[in-house]
Amino acid sequence: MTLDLFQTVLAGLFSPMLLGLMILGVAAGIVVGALPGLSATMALALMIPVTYGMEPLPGILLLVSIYCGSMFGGSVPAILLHTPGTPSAAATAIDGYQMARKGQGGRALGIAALASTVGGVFSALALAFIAPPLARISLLFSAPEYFLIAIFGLSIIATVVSGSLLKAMFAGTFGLLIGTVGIDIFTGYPRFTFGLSELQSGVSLVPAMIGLFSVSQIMIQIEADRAAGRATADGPLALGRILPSLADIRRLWRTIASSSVVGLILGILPGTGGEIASWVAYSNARRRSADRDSFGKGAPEGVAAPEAANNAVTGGAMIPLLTLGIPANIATAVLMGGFLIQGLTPGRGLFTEQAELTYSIIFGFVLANVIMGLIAIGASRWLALVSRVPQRLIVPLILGFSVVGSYSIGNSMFDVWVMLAFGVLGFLARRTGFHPAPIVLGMLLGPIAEAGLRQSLVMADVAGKPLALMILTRPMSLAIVALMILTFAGPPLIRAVSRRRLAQRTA
Amino acid sequence: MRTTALQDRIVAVILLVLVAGGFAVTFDFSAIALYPRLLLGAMALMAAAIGLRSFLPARPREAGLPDDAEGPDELPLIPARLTQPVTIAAMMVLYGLAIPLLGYFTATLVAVPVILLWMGVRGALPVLVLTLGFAGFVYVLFRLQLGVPLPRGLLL
Repeated sequence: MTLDLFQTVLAGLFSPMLLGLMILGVAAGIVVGALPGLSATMALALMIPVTYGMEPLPGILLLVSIYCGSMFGGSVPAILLHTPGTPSAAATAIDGYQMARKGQGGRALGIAALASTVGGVFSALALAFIAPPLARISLLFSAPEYFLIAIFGLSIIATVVSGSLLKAMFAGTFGLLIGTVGIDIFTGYPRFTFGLSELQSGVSLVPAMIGLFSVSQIMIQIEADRAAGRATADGPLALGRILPSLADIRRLWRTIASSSVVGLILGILPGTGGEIASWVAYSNARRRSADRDSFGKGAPEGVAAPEAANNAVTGGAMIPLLTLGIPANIATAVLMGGFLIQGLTPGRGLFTEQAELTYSIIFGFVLANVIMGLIAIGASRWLALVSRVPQRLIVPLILGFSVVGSYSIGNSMFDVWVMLAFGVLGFLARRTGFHPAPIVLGMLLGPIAEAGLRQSLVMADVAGKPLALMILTRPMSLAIVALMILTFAGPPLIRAVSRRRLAQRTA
Repeated sequence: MRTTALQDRIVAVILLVLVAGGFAVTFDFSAIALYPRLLLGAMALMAAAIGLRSFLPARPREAGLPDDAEGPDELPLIPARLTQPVTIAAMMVLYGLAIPLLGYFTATLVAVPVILLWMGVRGALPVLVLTLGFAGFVYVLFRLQLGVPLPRGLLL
């Protein structure tokens, strides 16, 4: 990256319009994260239609701002209500809530905000330095590697989602099959369109994502939401001082720094994500602490470690996404949909032909994390109230937004029906143990996988070798196969080691 | 046995029937049927494995760790558990049907209060504020800012 490009990028980012959008995105992300039951994935899926009509830079910046805001937002109800707003904030709830019970809720929120900001900024800067050289690898890719990368991406999501691996793989394959719907790009022949002209260009991705993530979530939660009381019975807790003191910063900087590194590494490593990173960082901080017994009873390190780690995951997860087109977790899979809709194809091209746009996104990500810290500390008192808003007020608005968002993608009521169909499909899938995320990823990667496979078959035919032998004689293909094996073996290995350590400690 | 073992068997049979249907459709694809057939073949094998696995005894639940064979939202789909999701889906379908007939804003001004009341929100003020606030927000964002031509109908 040249100095001229850096200056151009910064000048563009500090325009009032982009700053305003990032503030809006971060605030919306924090609010969504703070509302138990709503997830970053749901917010991203709902916001893609809004970004569709925008230029690529403001559109993508709005999405990444929501993503990083939601990672902090989940800590607000975790600390104040002992109800993590997002799965990544589950570890924060342990010590955060104990701090809140001692009247230190404000201090816990301030520490969470500081740790989240440092973790997020660190990982965003790492993204700026690690991604460009890594993207050069994509130059070595040909059809067999693209086919393997698509399968790799799918296997990652299958390992990320909780529940049966077999069902996750089925859902991913089903997503690949949905990706075949429409006119075949090689022959012009329609497949699985059933005579519907609207399906000739394939199943619309955004309405499908809104249905699978937002509508199905509402259908899953509706019973509990209607049964819940109109408002939380507890009154607001006394927060006390929010801005972290110098003594807290001196005490926690080592924990925040090491947890940020943990989050970054686990973010890059496909198949892990914020949930695992926050638990690993929490366990690491406890192991290194001189006062291990204070953990679980309101130790500030127990808040700083998971929060730094889960925000450091955001930049880490963007590295395989931007360089190789591999989403490392569910939220980045949806984010990838946003990138593709804006015409951005991950790989080397992003750092050469579209360098200004890509670096603007990366440094915008740094800025979004700083904005997040400022909003988080400045608005914590109001966020405490947001986390108490009953779901029954929000559900109709999400459903209404799902309808208008789906319609706006192609100004077509057919997309609204696609959204509803996928909402019902997502509900049935989740109730029967199939996660919707692999379906979406299969839809995203389907065309890449098919084109890669068909071109590979032609290459194998020309070379006079069977396809499997051709793949096994290409070094890059072998490297991807090795990564796939590592992905499947890695997370169970990390879990086994953590479990063993935990067992040793409790024994 | 897991609580959802029977459900897994039923799901496996339904999936196998659907896969067979999908396979029958590929007979019209001629030269471009290979890839969808490969996928359908893999899906058939996995569906059969899901069904067969349900006959195996459940793995013992480890202390403090969730059973990784069941999804977080997985529950037996009994009729009592379907009433409310089906009702909300039916309301969404009616809303979708009303949009081309009545126009987006008229349909929304009816649908949002109905869903709010069904959700248990009481009092005219919150219903009015949320409905008008949502319609106003959509008008400003989608109609004015993004220029989306929202459907017009009989009334608006």
